[in-house]
Amino acid sequence: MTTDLYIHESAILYDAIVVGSGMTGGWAAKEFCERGMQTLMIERGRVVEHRKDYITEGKGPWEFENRTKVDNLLTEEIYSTQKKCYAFSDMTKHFFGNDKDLPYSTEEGTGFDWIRANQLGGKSLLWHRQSYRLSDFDFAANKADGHGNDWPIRYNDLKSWYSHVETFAGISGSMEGLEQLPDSEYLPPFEMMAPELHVKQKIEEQFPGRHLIMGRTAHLTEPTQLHLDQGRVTCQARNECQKGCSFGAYFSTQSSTLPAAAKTGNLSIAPNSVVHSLIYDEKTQRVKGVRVVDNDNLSTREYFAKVVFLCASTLGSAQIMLNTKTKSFPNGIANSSGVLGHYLMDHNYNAGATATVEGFEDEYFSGRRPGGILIPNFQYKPSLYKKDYIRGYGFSGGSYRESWESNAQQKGIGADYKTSLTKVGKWKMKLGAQGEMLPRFDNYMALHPTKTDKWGIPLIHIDCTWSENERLMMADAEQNAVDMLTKAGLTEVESFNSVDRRNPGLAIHELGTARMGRDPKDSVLNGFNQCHDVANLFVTDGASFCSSAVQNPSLTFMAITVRAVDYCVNEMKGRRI
Amino acid sequence: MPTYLIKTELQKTVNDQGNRRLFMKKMVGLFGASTALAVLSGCSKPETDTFTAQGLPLSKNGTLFTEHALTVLYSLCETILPKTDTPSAVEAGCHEFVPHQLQHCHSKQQQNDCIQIINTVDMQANKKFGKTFVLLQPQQQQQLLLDIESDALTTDIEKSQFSFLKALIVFGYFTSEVGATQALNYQAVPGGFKGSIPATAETKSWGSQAYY
Repeated sequence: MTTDLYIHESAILYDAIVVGSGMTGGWAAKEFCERGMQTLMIERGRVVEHRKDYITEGKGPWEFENRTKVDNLLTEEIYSTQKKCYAFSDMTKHFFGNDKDLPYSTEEGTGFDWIRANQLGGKSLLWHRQSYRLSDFDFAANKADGHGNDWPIRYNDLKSWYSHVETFAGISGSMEGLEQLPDSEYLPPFEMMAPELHVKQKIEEQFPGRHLIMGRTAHLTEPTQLHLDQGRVTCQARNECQKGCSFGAYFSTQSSTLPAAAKTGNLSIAPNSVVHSLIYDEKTQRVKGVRVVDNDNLSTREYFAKVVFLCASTLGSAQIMLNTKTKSFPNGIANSSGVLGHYLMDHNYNAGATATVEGFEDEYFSGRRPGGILIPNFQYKPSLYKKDYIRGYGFSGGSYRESWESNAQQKGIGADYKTSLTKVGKWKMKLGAQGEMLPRFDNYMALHPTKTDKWGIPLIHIDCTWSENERLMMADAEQNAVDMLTKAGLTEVESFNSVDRRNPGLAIHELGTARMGRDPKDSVLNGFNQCHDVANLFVTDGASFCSSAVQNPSLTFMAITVRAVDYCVNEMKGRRI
Repeated sequence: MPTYLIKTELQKTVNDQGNRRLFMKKMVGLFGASTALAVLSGCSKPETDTFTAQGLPLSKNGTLFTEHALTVLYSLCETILPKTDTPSAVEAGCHEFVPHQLQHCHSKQQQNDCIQIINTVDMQANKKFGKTFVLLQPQQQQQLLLDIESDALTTDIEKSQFSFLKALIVFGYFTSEVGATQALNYQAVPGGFKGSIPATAETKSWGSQAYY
């Protein structure tokens, strides 16, 4: 990477501006650049260089002042929301947003935990790397049961684009031939542990229609030449991904899409550039560029391009659009439908169970597998729905052997106790539900009427709650986790249900604030992620989703992004944009 | 020596105190309890002041624990996780880690719980043996703590306070370099994942974890 990759002021009229550098921004930039388009990637945060800025990588817990825990004072002052993320620790905190600098408000009596990663690479540095295709059942779900609008696309529209991103990113997994979870282009899957294989066999025997498979993750279990050429090598099974990985073994903007985009010579990056709003030309009915406030010194500048791709996250992209008020769009650009900001969704990760697996004392594992097993959604079509609620859920999970962490509070003092803590303990197995959240108009984000942040941008105000459907689903998921583990012969089964204790947001799968649709009257984007109202404005992050399905959405973010770029470039070449 | 980074002035103080504890412990070993006690009385508060019925003696220098409480904590670490074929909790620096971690990463409630249970342990020692926990024989120390964990005379609150402090010492030990790499097996870079390797009852746990 050369230093002139990074720009500050620029009078250039770019072919494309991509706002955001995370999961989708990286792909948009790469695809534009590789099609010969002069591309400006705008990132609100600081530059994070691959390898050089992974400052905690490889450190043992004793090398952290508080043994990987974050100081109370720091947590209270600037990480009061971020601390709720499972991946937040002293090892990773520099990749999380500063809550004090990044305020937002929630409706009284509601809560939404918004996890932020405002730096080059965004959440692609922090993600959990689970990679699943959506199926035709997912794309047809809204139409089938009448909740939400119909997706304007189907599986076949995305199929080849899934393959395109999977081949390049590198996805590990197993071919299963399940109709609810289409197979991807795979590198070999990670291995299951003996108790997982046992539970798999028992569940598949006793619960027809349910499958227990290895989770599919964006890790190079066996890199191809394509990956080696990106400077990436085999996953070392450290499972310390969120510190950054110098092996480039998991997919991130830094490890994969950014170097590919930079290699073309067509990429420029404007870091520390907080997009305030879009510049709209009433005459041409097109966006001309973006207004930016400097992240550090709050000065303002503008960048111009023929097309703008918003890849700034579900809430971030919608905020920029709502804050672009023009004569034609007094309520936010491309918002003639009035649905911009509405139909906000997350996933519901709030129930499950843990149990003891008897036996297997002569079995252990080596390395830290960066992911677990998956029980794909087994209520994926209306004929499989439960009586009292609609849609479905899957489970993620895995087995492990107890160690000192689980056993520290057992009784004992002295040498024998100490020795017992150093030995491998009982096998345990955990299942955690991943439930679909319905798209509802009432779950929305808007701009705060009076409060602004330090860049002068109105705060996001969120009103988002679990509905009765989500509560009933979690109660059922809790019971099913118990049933499956019990029928698999496991003991000491303990279940949990946290749906009334945990706010939406913590699955970090925000979706739906600028949804696609066939009808411009009830959707913001068409089937190519292009705004119905503004032909050269695209939104390709989670904002475009019509339903949440149960799958982790990142792989679909990638696929719809590359498809949208392909469409956009063809439109530009055909002079329709 | 503990290898976690120590930055604050407070921590330097604790460090010096830690060294003094070590000195005291050696004194007891070399010259017997009475000589050591004389030294102890000369450099810390009189016993009668320390063991009040209310407990909760706040230290004069603004740190979490009084000097005497730190002495007891030192002996607790040594008793709970003694030196075996691997270093003890004291050698791993747990007696310094506990006050540091409580101050930086735990709630007031948890801090008070630890102050209280350390006081309770010492009061029990005084009640049963007429001297501070620090000066009991190792077997007496071990039995006294086993009683606190299991005895019907110990309240549930005391039991849970003790359990919390013990778990914090254990956390400090197995996240220290000696704990993670000598008492357990540490894989900095495993090189890949194997779902099945042989194990026996004697197999050590992995000391290398992704999350703590």
